[in-house]
Amino acid sequence: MNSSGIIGKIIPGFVLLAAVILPFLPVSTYIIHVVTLIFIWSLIGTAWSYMGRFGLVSLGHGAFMGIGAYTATLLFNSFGLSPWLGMILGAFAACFLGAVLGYACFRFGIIGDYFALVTLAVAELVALLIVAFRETTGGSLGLTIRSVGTSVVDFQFENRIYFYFICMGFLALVLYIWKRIDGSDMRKALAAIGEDEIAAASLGVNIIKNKMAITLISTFCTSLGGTLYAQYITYLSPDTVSGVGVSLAVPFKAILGGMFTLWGPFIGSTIVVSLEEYIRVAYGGKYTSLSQIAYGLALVVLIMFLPKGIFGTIKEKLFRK
Amino acid sequence: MLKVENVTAFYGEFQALSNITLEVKAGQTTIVLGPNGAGKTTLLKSICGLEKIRSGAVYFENQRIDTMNTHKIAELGIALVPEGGRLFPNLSVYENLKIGAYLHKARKNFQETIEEIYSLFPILKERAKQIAGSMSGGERQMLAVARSLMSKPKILILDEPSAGLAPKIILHMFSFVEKIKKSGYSILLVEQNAMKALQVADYAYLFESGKIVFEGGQEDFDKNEYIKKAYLGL
Amino acid sequence: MEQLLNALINGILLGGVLALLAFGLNLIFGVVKIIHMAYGQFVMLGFYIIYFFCATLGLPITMSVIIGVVIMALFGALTQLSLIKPLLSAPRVNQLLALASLIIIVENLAMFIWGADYRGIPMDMPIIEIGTVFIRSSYLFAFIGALAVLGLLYLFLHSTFTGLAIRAVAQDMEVAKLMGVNPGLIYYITLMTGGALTGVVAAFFVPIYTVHPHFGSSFTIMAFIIVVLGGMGNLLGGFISAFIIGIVTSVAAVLTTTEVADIVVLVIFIMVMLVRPQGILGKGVAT
Repeated sequence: MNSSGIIGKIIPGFVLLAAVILPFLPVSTYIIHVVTLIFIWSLIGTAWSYMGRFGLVSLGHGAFMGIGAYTATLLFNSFGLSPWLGMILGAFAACFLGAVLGYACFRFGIIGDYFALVTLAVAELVALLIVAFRETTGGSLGLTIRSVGTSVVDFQFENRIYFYFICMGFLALVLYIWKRIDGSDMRKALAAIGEDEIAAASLGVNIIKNKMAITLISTFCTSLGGTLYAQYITYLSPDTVSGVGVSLAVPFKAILGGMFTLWGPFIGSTIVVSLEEYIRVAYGGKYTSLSQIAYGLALVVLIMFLPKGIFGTIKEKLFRK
Repeated sequence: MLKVENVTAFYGEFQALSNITLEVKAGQTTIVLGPNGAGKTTLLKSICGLEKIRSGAVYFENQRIDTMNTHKIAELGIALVPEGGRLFPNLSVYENLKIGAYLHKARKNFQETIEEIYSLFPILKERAKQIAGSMSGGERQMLAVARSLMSKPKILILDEPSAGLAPKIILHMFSFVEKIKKSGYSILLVEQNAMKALQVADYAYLFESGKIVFEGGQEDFDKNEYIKKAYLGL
Repeated sequence: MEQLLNALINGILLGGVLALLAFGLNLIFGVVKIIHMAYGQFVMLGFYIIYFFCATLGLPITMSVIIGVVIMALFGALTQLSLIKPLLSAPRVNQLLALASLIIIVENLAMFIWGADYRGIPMDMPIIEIGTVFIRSSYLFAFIGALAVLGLLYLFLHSTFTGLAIRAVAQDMEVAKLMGVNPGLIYYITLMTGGALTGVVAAFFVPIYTVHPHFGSSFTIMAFIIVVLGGMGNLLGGFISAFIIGIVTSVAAVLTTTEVADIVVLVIFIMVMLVRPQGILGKGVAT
């Protein structure tokens, strides 16, 4: 039994079918909303996992998400630039930051804990900078996207269903990129690096080039997710699209699902976002804090009992046979 | 005193020990010889609880110890001098000796014991304040043995004490082992340097690929032609 | 110019308390090899607990502080029991994230119990004037107190068998076990000491700050910066680094604004990390 056999083809096919049909079924718009959020977070989680699965654990992806969100929004609000363009520009900006940060780290052999803390510092720095330049960015009060009703060019739709399909499309793209990475030489190189960097280097693997490549892809896609999130929610603040909280939330979702698998981040995001929304709806408002505590505890328990993530554990069990 | 019965141990998927049975009698010096990778260190780690055995049992003074935690095994009076000494690199000579007397019963006589050790190893007293990591190979090995003696153990286990040492220092090392032996300690000594080790042995085992291929006293080893050629270079 | 001098002195004084913070974090990391991701949040919790016993229940401040320290020590033990011990052999990222979830739990616990308002215990502590320099006695008290506690901790680590055992476990746990040291016990003692220290830091913060549910985050990040800059696990490095950061933060805040000061510290941190990741006194980059 292998993953490109029955399980590998039918279940995703089924999921895809279900996803496409869902908005046309008599389900509440709230469900559509939650699924759209799941698409966005899965996208970002998967992009994070491009790096995470090879041992490049970043605790700072909030920086890239934030850059994507704020770049597109600011360019649109101030200059009317189409957010689609803004999205690309933001992604390149995030890429650039990723490149600088990545190169500096990889060049000096910064890995593991140190890499995690540097990325965390960068995320915090980006958040602080957003707050500091409050005239432009609205600071900690946040920014709302100037509304123009429904306009494809301006990436705004009064009917949320359009966002649903657009986010699904981007998620499919990010998943496709994962598959392409899987089949590439870069993947083999990175796996070798992840296992034993020194040995890999002695075999002629270009450490910096490979790490940089995956970092650029990861930060680019994360930034796309950030823009999508901003466009969908139409409101952004340093806390919701950047900073330490977001930077920790992204790997949470990916790891809970299983960061070494294609569908892991998607499953992880599904569970976490559903959990978040459920707690918010059932207990929210008055009991937001209490629900957050429950959420935190749930995360700890899940991390402890499912170290390979939910999907990762399932996959392991299936292959034991 | 120390009995290893039918022990099998794995190192990952690799079988490091196969059905090992050996014994260290009280007051005697038992040697385990064998080339690299023969399973000698795995044996010692298993005795001290640093590694779990797959099957079999280890007894110390008729008490089963293979399921016990390492620090509890140390409490029973088993002291292992690991390969290379493994001193605490950022502690001084004095502090390394002091931690050797960590056990509650050893703490009480700490002052007395350390004076004894200083008289056995005067150079350690000279270097008492020196950081352990900055000493020479021979001195480090000496300190490691001294450290283990601080707990007044019932059995002293030495993992390749001559490894990496210059020939002159090795002579020193083995004369210490003789001295310790004469003080009445039970010793389990693991060595690659067969010639020197056999000279202090009351009984010896030869390991190859995780199995015991020969055992006996000094004379038995001397009589065996194959062993003499392969291990004693004669 | 006087402003600068003031900032310098206050920075040094604050550095003393930051040194305590760094010590606790370094101790835990050195022994358990895991970064306590929510250390600043623990300080915040300690503050709230002292506030509760003193302002809400009316107990005298000294007693409240003692209770606070004890409770935070127990929280340390709880962290060891429920989070660290089960995750000792888990992948690094899982450990970091599980401890990071403490941030969410503790901050929201504070929010739930005490709400978003700023809480504090009003204390009138005089300002000492020496020439043109103004020294807040609350800072001075914290500085002296922190150094005293650090002195005690140094004695503990260097004169007692338990302290020696802690240092041994930090350097080589396997061999420490061979010496008869019970690693589980040492872990608990370490976590409880680290926890108690957050209570002590909170106590020194009481005359200086007011607390709110996000109070912890800036200290958590600052603690990380100090600890990494000094060399992770290196107690002396953390001590030196705490004063450097204290001074830099204080002077930068006076030269620009507090906000900019935070940014400056972060930038310096990132740059130092890239150039010398093992910090001032660290040895080689740990993985």
